[in-house]
Amino acid sequence: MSQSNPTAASQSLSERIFGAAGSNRRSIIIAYFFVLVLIAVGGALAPGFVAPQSLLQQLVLASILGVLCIGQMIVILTGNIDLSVAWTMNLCSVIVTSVTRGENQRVTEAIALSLLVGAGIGLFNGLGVAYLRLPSMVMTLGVNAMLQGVTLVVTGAQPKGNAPEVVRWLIVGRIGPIPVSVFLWAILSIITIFILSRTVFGRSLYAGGNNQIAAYLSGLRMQRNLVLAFVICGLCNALGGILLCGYGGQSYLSMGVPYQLPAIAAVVVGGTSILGGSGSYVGVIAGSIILVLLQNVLSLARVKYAGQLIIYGLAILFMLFIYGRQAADRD
Amino acid sequence: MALLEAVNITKRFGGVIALDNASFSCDAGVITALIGENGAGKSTMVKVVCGVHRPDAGQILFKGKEIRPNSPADAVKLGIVSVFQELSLVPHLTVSQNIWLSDPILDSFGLINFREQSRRTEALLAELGFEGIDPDAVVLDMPLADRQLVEIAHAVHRNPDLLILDEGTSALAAREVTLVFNLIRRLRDQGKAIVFISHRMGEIQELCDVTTVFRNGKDVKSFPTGSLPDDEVVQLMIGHKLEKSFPPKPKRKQPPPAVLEIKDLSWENALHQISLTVGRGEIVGLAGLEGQGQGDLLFALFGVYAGVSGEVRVEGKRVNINSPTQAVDPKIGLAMIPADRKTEGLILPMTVGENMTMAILNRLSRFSVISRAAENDAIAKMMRRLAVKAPSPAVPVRSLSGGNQQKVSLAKWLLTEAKIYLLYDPTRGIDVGTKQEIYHLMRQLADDGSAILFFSTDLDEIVGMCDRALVMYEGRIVKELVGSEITETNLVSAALNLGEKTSNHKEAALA
Amino acid sequence: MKPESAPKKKLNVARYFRPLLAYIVLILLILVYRALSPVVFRLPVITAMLNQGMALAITSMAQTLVILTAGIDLSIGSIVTLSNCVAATQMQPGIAPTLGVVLLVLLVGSACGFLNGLLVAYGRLAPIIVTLATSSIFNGLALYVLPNPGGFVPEWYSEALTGRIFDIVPTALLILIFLFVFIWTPLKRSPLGQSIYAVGSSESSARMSGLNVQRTKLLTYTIAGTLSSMAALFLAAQTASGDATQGGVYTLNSIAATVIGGTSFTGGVGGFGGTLAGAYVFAIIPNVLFAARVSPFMKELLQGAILVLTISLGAARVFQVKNRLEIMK
Repeated sequence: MSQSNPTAASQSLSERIFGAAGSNRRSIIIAYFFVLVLIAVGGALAPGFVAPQSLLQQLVLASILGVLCIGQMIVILTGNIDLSVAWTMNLCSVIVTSVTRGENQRVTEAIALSLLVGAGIGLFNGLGVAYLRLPSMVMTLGVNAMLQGVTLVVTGAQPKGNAPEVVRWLIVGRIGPIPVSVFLWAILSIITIFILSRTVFGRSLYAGGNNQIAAYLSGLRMQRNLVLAFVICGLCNALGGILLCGYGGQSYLSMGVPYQLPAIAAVVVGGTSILGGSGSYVGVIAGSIILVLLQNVLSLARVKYAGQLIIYGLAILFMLFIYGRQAADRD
Repeated sequence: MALLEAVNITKRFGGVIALDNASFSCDAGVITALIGENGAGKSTMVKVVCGVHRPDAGQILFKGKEIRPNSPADAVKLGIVSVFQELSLVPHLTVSQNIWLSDPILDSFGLINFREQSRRTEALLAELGFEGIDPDAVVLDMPLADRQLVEIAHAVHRNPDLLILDEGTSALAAREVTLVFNLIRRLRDQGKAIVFISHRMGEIQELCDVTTVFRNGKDVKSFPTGSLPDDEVVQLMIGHKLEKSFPPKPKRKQPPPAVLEIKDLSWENALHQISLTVGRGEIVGLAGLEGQGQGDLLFALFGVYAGVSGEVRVEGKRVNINSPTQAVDPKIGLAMIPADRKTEGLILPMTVGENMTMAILNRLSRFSVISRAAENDAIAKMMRRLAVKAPSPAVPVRSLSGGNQQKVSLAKWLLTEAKIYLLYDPTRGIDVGTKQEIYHLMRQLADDGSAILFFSTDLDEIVGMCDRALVMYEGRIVKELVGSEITETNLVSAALNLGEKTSNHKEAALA
Repeated sequence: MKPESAPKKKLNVARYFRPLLAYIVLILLILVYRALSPVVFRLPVITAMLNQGMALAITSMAQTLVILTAGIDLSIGSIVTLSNCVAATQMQPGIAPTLGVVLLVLLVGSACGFLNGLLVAYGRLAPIIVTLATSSIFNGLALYVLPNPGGFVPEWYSEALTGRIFDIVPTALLILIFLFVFIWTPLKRSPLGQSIYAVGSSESSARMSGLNVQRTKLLTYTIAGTLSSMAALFLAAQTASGDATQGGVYTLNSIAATVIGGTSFTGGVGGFGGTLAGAYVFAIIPNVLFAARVSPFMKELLQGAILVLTISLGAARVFQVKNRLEIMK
């Protein structure tokens, strides 16, 4: 690395992880601050809240959301959105339970097929958005509805079978003191952060999200990368579905629906701009944790579900305002 | 008392001082020309006056009273109407709807009376002499020249006391220019004030009563148009002697080996049977009035257009370029610096360093992982070579001045070590000092073996830089000038296609 | 660096093509339905069909208005839910109090829309995330108002809205005509309506022309809220109850209906004419499936497929484009 020139692009470690944009770093710090605030509030309401076991349990839930957010964030970075989370999760979960019928025997094939289907859904979305230039919101909405139909038809509206032990293990099992899914999430997070900050693919996502035309004229492979982004999202949705299957012990209809909104919310609460082009997965990790903690704190405070929904929405708006308009609007 | 007096206006954009304690005034019943180089502050001054920008310091007096317009709408209410180059028409509405947009004609139910609007628009257009424009045509479907006429009609309709035209005639042909000029003269005779910003000296001589010169964000001098000789005016504009220093051109005994050969290239209705070659070490200029296909040619070469017919060869080998990705590939080795650096050339929110390496990411990486060391080296090299003035490569590129932004844009393409550089008006809107640096850089690239094909609206540049010049007119190459044939006179006459029949087209004189 | 060639005239044809296509599809669907089930053109069946699509038609008008400004409203379904719950909990047997409740419900919807508008226009936050957040808020409020499905809706109210006048003309038909002639058309021809189209077509040009962009957006979202609550009032008549869990369906379907009807997602082009057809296409699909003895589970599959197919039609233009920059945003 060239040291002789003071204008060399020597980036500090924090710049490398958080991205060079100053506003990004601020958002991330704010997000983690609120994680701490929520833990403190929860601890004040019930000391057991901050017990390691309890926190790890919440991390398990956060890991399911977090995995979904990997894909969603990548798509949002490009200036698009994926609204097919709910039924991709459902269908992929159904694939696992149907193929294995609760036994461990064919679990590898089941998981592989499930992930393949997820990737295939992502590919379909990506082709439509990248090559046919269909608006991603409408495209993924339509695909979501189609997947709902497919799931209903395939299961006859009565999904059978339980989650095989291996899948259950993903949620209840441990590696050392850490739940497997959290461990998995950690690994995937590191990979994601690496991809976004250190690879050509990652750089081109940010470039395209900011200025498609300039990125295109620089020779970046815009369309191929966009398809790849949606494929990754499809994979993440599938994985999220598998994890959720492990969590609930079975597949059931509409299991993925409660995750659609939080997947997007966590990305935005984590400091990523909904318009694309800026954000860091480090912040999204905090975003996922915040949403899970928030829900648990509200339950702890005996807030009715109705109240939880209201506060949920207010919290999202609150974070948007705190991040400043840069999070949601570009001048 | 002057109708408009802008006094001691200062306006900054980030670190760039666009107006530096500048003053401007114009009188009713007078057509005032506002001239200066790109970046001299003319547009900014005018935008401050009509409410697009708020000044950091200074006062604006209109009809003797101080005004502080917060938006163009405010200015219109005061009687100041402006027509800019960026069209302000709503694309999906019709001509008539656009003209009446801010003040629609309502019927007794409070609903818009489209028919009456259309009728009155037709009358307005006829009165202005803009026949052939259908009031019910959707703006999006209209050619650029017609849209510009509608803009002018829109402005006139709002009954301005002060009308500002900022390059408002750039797309118009001779007949339309005459119509607009007659209109402007009528307005002047009615006692209105008009400010006319243009680069076309001929138009200014013909139309304007008073000329004000701006340079480097300040007003320099105002004088009755025509009272000063041309070279003195130019000297006021550029601040030093007419001679721009261009690097010397090499003398060649034989034409150099061809790097880029184009044969019968055509595209849509914009390019017709273009054939040219650029040799190793040559700088070939595309000249002619703006909008004759020069930009289209560069885009077509770079793979942006589909349906391009004809043959393109790079270093003798036939190539088929269907995307910028292919064009940039080292095997083909093209580079293009586009016209609009803010929207096409740079990604403003990203850092200087990120912008610089945007086109060579693949070369800096292994298995798609970017090597930090290699990237930093490349960035440092470019920061040095082009002397980019920035606190560090990690700042967002939008915080740099126009000249430095263009340097970053160039750096991006220099890093590709391309065989062929395509440049569209690379020094537009750049200060004189940086321009010189760019000229020397271009010649250096050529001397190192690259081929350069570039378009410029600045005739001096074409004369000073090019080994050969190709003049384009309506999508064709109408003249090739070599070496000492490249003179202003030859360029201008070729650009106007003089000596050809059916020239009911652009006669607007270049400088 | 714009291409110096003149822009093509293809847009003119496209503007009428899509709404027309939507109506053709609607007619085809009805014909298919007729072929499968001869009772289709009997009055009770027509009335039922009109009723079926009414809530969607009204919410789709709301969504169309918002999409015309190049925005999106993901909270429309929640506003419907909230309004529905308010109606079901407040309604009384008497006429006067019920009319009072109607006004209250409209107020609630308008307030919801007003909040959206404030956040989008003056808070300058992106519509997608604002309305996502407010949808949660409105859903929560709905649950608060009516924790369990139920409530009360006077019978005469249900009958009046879902029945027939003089036993011949379905009220729904009158409502549709009223919507189109007395709400949509005047709005479209009003300065506000033109402003909506202008803002969606080019916000910067609209601003330069002196239009108040913020106020236009504020009004658009507010009206969308009002219309959503109108849809809820009809829904209350249909279901004679409230249900706080019903939420999202109208949001997504209203987007689908708008897009199928030919309104451009990027704003400035389209209108309720096409959207109306799109809404009814979506609404009578279950009927057609039932008549064809196809599993009702195919409903979403078919709706999704129609949506994807419809927008893919627009994609044909992508392949004709000669300047690839035009297809980049």
